[in-house]
Amino acid sequence: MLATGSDHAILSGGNLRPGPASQVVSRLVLCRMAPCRENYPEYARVNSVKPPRECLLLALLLVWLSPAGFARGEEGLRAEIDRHVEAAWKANKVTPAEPASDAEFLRRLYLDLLGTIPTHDEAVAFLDDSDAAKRQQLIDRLLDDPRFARHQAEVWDQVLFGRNPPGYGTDKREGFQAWLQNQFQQNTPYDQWVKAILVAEGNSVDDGAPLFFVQYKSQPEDATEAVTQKFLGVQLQCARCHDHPFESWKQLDFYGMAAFFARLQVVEVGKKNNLAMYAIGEKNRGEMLFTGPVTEQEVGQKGEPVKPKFLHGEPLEEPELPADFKEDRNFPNGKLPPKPRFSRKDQLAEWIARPDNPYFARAVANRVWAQFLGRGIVHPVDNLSDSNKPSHPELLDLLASAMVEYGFDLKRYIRELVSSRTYQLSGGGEVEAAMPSWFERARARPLTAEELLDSWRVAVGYEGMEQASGRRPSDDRYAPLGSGYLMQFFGAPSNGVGDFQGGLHEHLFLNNGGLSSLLSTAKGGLHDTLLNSESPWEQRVDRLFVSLLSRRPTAEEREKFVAYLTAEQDPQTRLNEAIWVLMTSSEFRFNH
Amino acid sequence: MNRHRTSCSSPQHDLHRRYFLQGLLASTAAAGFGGVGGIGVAAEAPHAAHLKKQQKRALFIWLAGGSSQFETWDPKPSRETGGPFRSIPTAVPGYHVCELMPKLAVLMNKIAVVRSLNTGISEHGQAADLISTGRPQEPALEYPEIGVVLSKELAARESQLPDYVSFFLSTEGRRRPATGFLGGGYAPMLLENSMRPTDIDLPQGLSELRHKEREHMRELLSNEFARGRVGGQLVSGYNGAYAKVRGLMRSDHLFDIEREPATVRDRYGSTVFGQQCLAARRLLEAGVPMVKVARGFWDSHHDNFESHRELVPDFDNVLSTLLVDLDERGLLESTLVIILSEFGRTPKINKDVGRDHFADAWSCAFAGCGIQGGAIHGKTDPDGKTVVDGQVNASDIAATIYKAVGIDPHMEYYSGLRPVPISKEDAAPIDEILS
Repeated sequence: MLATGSDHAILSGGNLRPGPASQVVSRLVLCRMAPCRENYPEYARVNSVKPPRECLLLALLLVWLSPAGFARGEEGLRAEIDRHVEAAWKANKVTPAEPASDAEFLRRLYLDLLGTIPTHDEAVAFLDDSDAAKRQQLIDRLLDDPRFARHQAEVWDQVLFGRNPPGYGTDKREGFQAWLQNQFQQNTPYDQWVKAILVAEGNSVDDGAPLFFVQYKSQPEDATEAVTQKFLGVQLQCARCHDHPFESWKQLDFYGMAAFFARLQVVEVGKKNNLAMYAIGEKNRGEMLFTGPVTEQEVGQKGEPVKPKFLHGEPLEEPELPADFKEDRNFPNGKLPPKPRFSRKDQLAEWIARPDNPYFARAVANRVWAQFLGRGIVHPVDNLSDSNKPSHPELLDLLASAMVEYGFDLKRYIRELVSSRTYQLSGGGEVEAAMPSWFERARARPLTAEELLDSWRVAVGYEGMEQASGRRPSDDRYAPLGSGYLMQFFGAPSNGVGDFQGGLHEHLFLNNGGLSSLLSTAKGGLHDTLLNSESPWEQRVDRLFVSLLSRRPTAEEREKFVAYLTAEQDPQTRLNEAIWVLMTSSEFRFNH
Repeated sequence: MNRHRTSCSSPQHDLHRRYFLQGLLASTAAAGFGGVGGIGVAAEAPHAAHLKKQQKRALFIWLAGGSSQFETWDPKPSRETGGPFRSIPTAVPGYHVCELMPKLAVLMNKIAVVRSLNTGISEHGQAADLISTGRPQEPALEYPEIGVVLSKELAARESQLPDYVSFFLSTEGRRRPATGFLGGGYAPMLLENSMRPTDIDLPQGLSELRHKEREHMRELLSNEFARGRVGGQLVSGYNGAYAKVRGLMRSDHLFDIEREPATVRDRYGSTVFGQQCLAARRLLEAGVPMVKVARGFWDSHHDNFESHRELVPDFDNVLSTLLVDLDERGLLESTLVIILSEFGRTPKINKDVGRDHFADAWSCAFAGCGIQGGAIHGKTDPDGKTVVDGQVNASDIAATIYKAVGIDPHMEYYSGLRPVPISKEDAAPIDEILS
């Protein structure tokens, strides 16, 4: 049913492709999606809840009515956040955790902003700093660190592609990743770089952005699902095959959106460094054809063309093509495709990234909140819907309007989140839930493969070892362990959810496998520094702990480790084991 | 297709409301940031515990590249599409298989065959995804492979063995079972380079004692961290994994087929496939609930008949040996053996005397746990071009597999708030082949 570029695109309300009758019958799909539950009357009732659009419009109205922009105290958004969160604690009789210690805050902030732990020297400098404003200074410094851009780009790269993108070479995307990192480096407003992804100008290697659509080559329905979910926080999948049973989505909403993607074609325009360069072309003709609910479809039914219509919005006004307009069916490879006379895709990009789009600001405000606070105010973050209500509705309205007021400046927004008292709570406390619902304490989440590797490298002084060796540092992102290893053992989605325990392979790897390249005794590394230090073992154990866990040991820990390290004549082996113990400890494995 | 349609509006869903509500509660503990949102898996069905008591197991034999149904389960001798081989009668009256499978023919009363698969997709990667998960791919959610679901459901608590061991040395079978939204904790133990797992030996220069002592130190530190900590369970679960590491280090003999008597090794033969199936039997017998063996090189675009003349007799020998072996040990009753490919091969014989990819009418087979031996389901036309009776799709196969080992095919996991039935909602098990 690839409607792309064809005047004769077939149907559809579902998963059908043109084909022999026997095939079509066999592929009739009743419902692609798991969550359909038309039988739940309680959902039908939830339907009457006020749609988020109105809430947001109301909030926006407040912004405009207020003389000084948003009606908010001197202290800014961070204080508003704390006020809302505290009110919810009161209302729900929740006792919050203590504020995080400096060490807790330090490690959390480094991991969240830079994707790595601090070096020994960075940690000591912060821990020993007596300036009352040192937390704020650290926040400001890290937000301007080049590693901030790299880490945030990696986080968003996973949102946009995931570990296993659908294909067409999108698992190799250096061009896209460099482009995205550059957006964070320049602090390009979020709405602008999203628009660039959706407008997709240039090619996927030099310009990066066009690679996003390459994933959904010839699959306008898949593009529809992905774009609405990732950028609007809305799950339209159900409406692909039938009107949504308990949300307000109709099947025609889905196809109205899909019509914006129906004319897209992925064109290979060349090769560079062995990477195919793709451009996104758009034809002047081609419609989504709609046949109604999949269950009622008949073989050979042709369907009615569906005009593009913005989600819960207006139909798109389109100029007519001249009657004698002619166009080739496909764009030739090797040549940048010409712009269409009228671009549906550009109109959609414009609409999606508008500040008054009812979903856009809200979705990103919620998603970034979840990134730093552990769970979305609407959770999961990509399911903003009437039946999935926010835990703190007013707070979400506030965050969405702040996002608009900030002009989608993510760095400014993140600064407010991490400056709040809420973010700076301790993770301690007698609670089992990894993700506290009322944000009454910090969440625990496992490090991603990249965070784990970068943190290990920092902890053992890998860079120092490389420098001391005089070898040219490897330009492999995953050196010295290699991406194969890392992705196999640590790359699977592990977002800090209940069942996380690390695969058996992970534990075998940690116990018996290839960590040895990091446990090196080479000059310039942590092992070498500690072994050859003249300081008493107590101080060396302190250094060991700060290097790996960004905190000093407790008296008991210090005593135990000193005893362990000095139990034999030759401390070398035991030192190696002590480093291993801290590298593989739970405290290291989690961001808490 | 109409044979077994359950739609979104099916009363099936009502049965699961209880789990759904449990999931709502449990999902407050789950969160995340990522393309598919946080994925929380909760609300285990109560019957799973019952299942675990019975120690059911499954062996997934994956004929990677696409084996030919004509040269195995659905021969069409003397037709233009049939190729040079004859068909032979089997232990099931009226049912014939290709002459390349004489040993299996005798055992057909232990085996059920489905000759009516129509799965639509005939490109390797996409088809393998479809068949191995029982679902079309979806940009919004990554699904786990059937074997991963089986390993999760059939796993015995406190076991010190892996829940899933997957052999795939051959190039074509080199697809790692996807854990999808269940996450890395359910990743199988992969045997990709040798029959023995990597990293189960002590690291060089580390004695047994040191290995334990440093772990003791690690445990002390990590337990201190887990105590009174948000997500304490999460963290202590992580700490607890060492027991499994030690368990596996002690179990390396299970992977060593040299410990089998020579007569047994001879019966399985000297091919890699035979050796892996023997190792699989050792693992299943020791209590590993899920094993997968992939056998490659079935993608016969050229010289289909020559390559099947080579591959099928080995398959015939190994599978028949395995079934008899399992049966003699009293394991067949509790072990589901699944024989699947990503698709079959075309009726048309191409200019290179090969057969190409074909997903419109092909076959698969099952034996053991929950299977009605001798049941032959579905039928193709005289040339094997279309299914004429009992058509099933990939989702139906998945549902059949689940039901065979006693798992409700419509039980649900949770991905955030979203209930996800383990098989697609319109899937229906093929009851005709179930006992």
